[in-house]
Amino acid sequence: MEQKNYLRVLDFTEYPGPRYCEQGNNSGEEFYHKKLNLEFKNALENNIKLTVDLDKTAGYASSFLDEAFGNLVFDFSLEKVKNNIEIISNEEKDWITMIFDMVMPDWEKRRNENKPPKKTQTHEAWYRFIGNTIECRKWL
Amino acid sequence: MALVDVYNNCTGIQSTGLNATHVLTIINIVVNGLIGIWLGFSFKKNYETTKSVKDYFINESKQLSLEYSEFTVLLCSKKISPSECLVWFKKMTKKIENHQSVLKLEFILEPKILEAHNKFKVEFTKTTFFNENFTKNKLDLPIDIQFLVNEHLSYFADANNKLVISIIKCKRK
Repeated sequence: MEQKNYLRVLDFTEYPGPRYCEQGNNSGEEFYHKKLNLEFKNALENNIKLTVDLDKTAGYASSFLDEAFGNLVFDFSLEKVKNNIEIISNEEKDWITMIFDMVMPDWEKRRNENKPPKKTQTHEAWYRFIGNTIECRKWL
Repeated sequence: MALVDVYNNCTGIQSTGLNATHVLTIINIVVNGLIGIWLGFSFKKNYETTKSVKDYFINESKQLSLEYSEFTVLLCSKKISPSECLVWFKKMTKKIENHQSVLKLEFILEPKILEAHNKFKVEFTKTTFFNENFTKNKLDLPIDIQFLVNEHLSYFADANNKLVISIIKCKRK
């Protein structure tokens, strides 16, 4: 799995916002539904890694990253996400540790307990890994 | 003829009553004295260099503490927006990370200020209050959030004070 897809948060926004869409623009929820979900599904289908670059923005709220990467784990499982994602954050290296060591395990637990994430806006159908296939629909 | 005899003949030491042993002793004293003076000067120079380097890092640590205090004052006096907080957190992360990494190159110590700072950044920006008020121009912190901010300010100050003490006590690499 040498080939990689590349997703820069900067291409989504220079100013990442709060956790939910209802709390402000460029939220973690919005980033997940507009960018991360589709990009990760494409990487997974092509059996390549997705590199997410967090650098060059104005700064993050931890809740933005929690919501974005947490939803990813909820929809695709911890194993799939860990094996298929690489995160670059040279400017604030601590985000990588937080995402892998705190966010992902917490959301895997939430996935196992079947506690669905809150959606504060109606989203287009999105992808989820179910059984051995990737399905696309409006899950909530 | 031995080298010492030649030396004695040339310098007339025999006539003054000094023998080769005396000469070697004098040479020994002179050489040891010179080594002592050289060691003294090098130690003084090393000491002064280390002290200057330590003073520099201690001042940097004081500066970080000052910036932290100023930020919390702004935060608690409704003078800063959530977006500005994020910019400040990022700027401080870079500053503290740089300070710690250069310190680690120079001294044998384990600073914990970045850890304290990151904890504050994560805890504060994940609060419902911070997210719910994200679009506001100025944050008006409720009591519980003010308490959280002050608590983290104390953690940071504590980690920074411990770092300053470590800098004073530690050895240079």
